[in-house]
Amino acid sequence: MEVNHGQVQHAKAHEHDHAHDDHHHEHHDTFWTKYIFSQDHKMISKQFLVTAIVMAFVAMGMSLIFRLQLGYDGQKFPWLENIIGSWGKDGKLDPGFYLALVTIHGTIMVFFVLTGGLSGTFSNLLIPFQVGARDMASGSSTCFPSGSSLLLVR
Amino acid sequence: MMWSVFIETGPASGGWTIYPPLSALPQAMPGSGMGMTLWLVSMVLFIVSALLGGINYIATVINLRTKGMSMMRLPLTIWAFLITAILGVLSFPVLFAAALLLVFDRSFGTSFYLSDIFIGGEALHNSGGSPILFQHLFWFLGHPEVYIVLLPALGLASEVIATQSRKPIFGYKAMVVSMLVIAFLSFIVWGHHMFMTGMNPFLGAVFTFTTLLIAIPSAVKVFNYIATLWKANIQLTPAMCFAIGLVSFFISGGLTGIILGDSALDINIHDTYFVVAHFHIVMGASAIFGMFAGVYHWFPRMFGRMMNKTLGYIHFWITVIAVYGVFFPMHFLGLAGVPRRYYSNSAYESFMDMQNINELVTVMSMIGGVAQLIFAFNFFYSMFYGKKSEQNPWGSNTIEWTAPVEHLHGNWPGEIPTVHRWAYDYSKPGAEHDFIPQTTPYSQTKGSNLPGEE
Repeated sequence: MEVNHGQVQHAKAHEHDHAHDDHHHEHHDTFWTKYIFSQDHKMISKQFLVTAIVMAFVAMGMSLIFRLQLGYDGQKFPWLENIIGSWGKDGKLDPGFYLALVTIHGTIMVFFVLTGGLSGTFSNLLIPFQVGARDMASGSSTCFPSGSSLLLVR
Repeated sequence: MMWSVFIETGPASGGWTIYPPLSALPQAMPGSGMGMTLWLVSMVLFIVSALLGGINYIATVINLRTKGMSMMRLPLTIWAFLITAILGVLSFPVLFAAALLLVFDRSFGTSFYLSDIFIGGEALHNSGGSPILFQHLFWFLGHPEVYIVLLPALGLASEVIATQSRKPIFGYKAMVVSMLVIAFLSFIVWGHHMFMTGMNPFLGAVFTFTTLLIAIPSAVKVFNYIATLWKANIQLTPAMCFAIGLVSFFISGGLTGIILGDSALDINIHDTYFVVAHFHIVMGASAIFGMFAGVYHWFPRMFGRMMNKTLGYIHFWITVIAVYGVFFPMHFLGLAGVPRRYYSNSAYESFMDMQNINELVTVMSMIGGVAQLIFAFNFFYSMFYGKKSEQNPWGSNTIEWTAPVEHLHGNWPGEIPTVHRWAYDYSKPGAEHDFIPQTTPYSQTKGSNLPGEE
């Protein structure tokens, strides 16, 4: 959507100075059209990769917190309360939240990092490059997965 | 799903496999309420995007190959992505169905997954379903999902290993066929996740048989990697280190897979840390290492800059030691019977001896976690300040390295290059260089052509 909007505005700008004959067909990408709603497979693969790295760190942080509980059962870590608030009252991890961390760690790692991140990054980057194509078969349908994995799924 | 961390009742907490009734009854535990709903919403969106992406990958590989790029000239990465996409398109709809039925059970009073359940002495009004049904549906996705995760990593590793060994990949056709066989077999082994659900022992034997069959194509792949490395002119770049690390994890995780795939053995170590160790090594660490290999190898292609090599080596060695340090001791925990998902192991007298192993695992995981900060620094620093890369820094044959370093729409400024040969002509006897790009016609390499290559 955003991309089309940008092109429409661009076309209008062209109509205005029709007197000038310098039709330069440069795209004036805004931040949004270039980095967020891109339909270029290279940019989409970068979106996937950066998202995957961020999500991997989130999921890894969760695993470190519950490993702390498993390794040092019964000990108190007062700084835990600063990170996870009331889930870590008095420096002890809440048992219910422990189960939640295990669950969400698994889901994020399996689906969003290793499925979305790995496949999404390298399929989008390498399929057009290595088979010798200008871009993916359908630009907008790759845009949706990356957009959704970036914005909605998270 | 990330929002669910911030709501009062907390995120979904029924395990990543979300078995009912914990996931089907909103009142089952705190996370089964809003947290579970958000989990389902995010998963449905994820499945839709995975399906759209998968269809797109398949369409691109089948329709948009350049002139001369026949299917048997495709690099193994592309074969892996194609097979992964097919697996995804076939298996994700099943998870979609499972999630949809779960939504019905949760919100509309159906009972696909709810058998006779009593809450506070009162029978639930919707009953008559079976929680086992969910497990069947989930694992029908779940097992192909393992290969959806693993095959791209193996594909990336194939490319990295062949390029950095300066040797043609050993057994190209065998690699393709074994990937196809793995993909096929992955659909008929889901029962090995469910040996303990009271299934007929005969059925258990059938699933054991199909599961152990997967060992054959997997071993073909591993032996082909080792044969490619054998007597090769190995360039130990960070990407190559990670690719070899992947092969190592694939072997050690695969060996425990043989134990777990056998129903007679699995019954003893079901739901212990042995399982946790197995799938973290074979699926978690292998796939992550494939991803690292890919990032280090294709970073110049993505950003036009090189990543720092020294930091790459430090990252690799700390990570590989930490991964084995975390997951290898877990095997012993599992064999001693420590169950997974327990909050406090010290509550049981018999597990008190194990506490020092648990401590070691925790320390190792902290070390491994810190090592990833090195990677993050290297990645984001090199993105902006890394050394500018050359056109083809690894001396690779595949055609992505013929495209200009600066990204432009349409990838190649003029014509799309034509392909004349397969992707693995490394160190060909009689050739001028130790690599011949796919774009070089046979007429220009008279000295190195094999019989039948004109």
